[in-house]
Amino acid sequence: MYKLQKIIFTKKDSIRPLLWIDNLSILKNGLSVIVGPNGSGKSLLLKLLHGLIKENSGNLLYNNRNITQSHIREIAMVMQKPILLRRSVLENLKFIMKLVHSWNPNEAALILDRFNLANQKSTPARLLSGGEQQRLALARAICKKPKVLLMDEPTANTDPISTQSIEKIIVEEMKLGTKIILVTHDLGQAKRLASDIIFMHNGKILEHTETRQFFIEPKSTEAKQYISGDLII
Amino acid sequence: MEIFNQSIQVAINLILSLDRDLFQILILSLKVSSISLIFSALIGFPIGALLGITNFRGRSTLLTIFNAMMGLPPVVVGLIAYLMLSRSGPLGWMNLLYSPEAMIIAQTILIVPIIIALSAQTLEELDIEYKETFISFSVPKSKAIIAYIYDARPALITIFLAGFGRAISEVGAVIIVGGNIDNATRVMTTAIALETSKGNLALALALGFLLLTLSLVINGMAVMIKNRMQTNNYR
Repeated sequence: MYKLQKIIFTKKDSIRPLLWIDNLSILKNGLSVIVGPNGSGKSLLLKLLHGLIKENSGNLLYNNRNITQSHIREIAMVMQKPILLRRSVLENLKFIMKLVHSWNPNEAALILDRFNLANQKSTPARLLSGGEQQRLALARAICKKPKVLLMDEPTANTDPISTQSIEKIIVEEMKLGTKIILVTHDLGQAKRLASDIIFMHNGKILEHTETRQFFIEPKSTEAKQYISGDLII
Repeated sequence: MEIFNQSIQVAINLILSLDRDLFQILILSLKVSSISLIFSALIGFPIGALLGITNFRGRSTLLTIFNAMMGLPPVVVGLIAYLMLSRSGPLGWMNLLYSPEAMIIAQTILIVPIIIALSAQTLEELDIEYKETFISFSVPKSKAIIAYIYDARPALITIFLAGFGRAISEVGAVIIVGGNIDNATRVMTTAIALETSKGNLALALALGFLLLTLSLVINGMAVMIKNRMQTNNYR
């Protein structure tokens, strides 16, 4: 699905590349989880895969083609801190539904039910709890009926019940054929959900391997340190 | 203190006696300020949106200019408008000098930069916040602009009010281009200036109280609308 070769991404006025990826292939199926210490470039990689930022050099192919506006329509992203419109829960959903297909109140009611937000449909979205905001952001993303769903630490600020509910929806979407790429700091979540793990450090991909193998036999010293909870400098 | 009590009494008497001159001045004040505010909003909000949301060469220079123009001295604006509208000026053929229309033009020049600068700032902040999400959802620019304006509406109402405040309280420009002619171009502020210069302080203060009350009532109504919007989904 994704092929990245010799990717370099540097921010304006910065000399050091923030992403330096020699080679990465992400398959069409399953749930890929990106892990790594803070500042390793996980969120930047997600933005790059969505087309929100552009690499300075190298090749990024999505289904063997460069990412264009029409590809961005096939990809949805849930940010770590969801940006919700200054409107009610229902109005947030309505805005996206109108945009991607047509507004259907019955369909919206079903979505709100599925995401356990039906009772809050008239609540201002920004007054929801962290977990509810993430569920609404996920509901909006799924409204887009994406082929790829990118998620940046969707359960970082949520309680266990919201985490369980979000993970359940992630698994359901994966079973429906949506490719999911998830960034997380929660190694337990990575173990529960991932089919493959991408381990990043200092903007580089140090490992990309099957989940079981990553946790049993990590190849790099940094990955071993990360799994055992040591600080990686 | 006596003069305050006296002026309140005069104000009450003027209102209760439905003083024709007073209401004429009041209505003209509201008319001139409202029309210039509508024109300013029609000109200012689209330009503000353009400057706030789009990025083009010279944008920051324009923003700096409009920000600086927020503090335009009304007498200077009045003087420029006077020169433009006077018989020998480029717009002299319109015969607008010493008319309510000339006052509307002068007030519009004063209010437009306020609306442009403040709305550009409000919409720019919203654009920074929503931008990535809107790109992610492939929101077309036209729909994004509508969403920004819709979501920023309480702030835009406050900007509208700031414009009204500037218009209703302004004296320097309207006195130059309007001439403070009785039954023609006399508004609350110019009437206050005139009565003060005549030493009729009680009447001037009475007019001042009325102006303040008018301003408070209109602002109070707008704040109520804004609060209702905020409880209905805006946070």
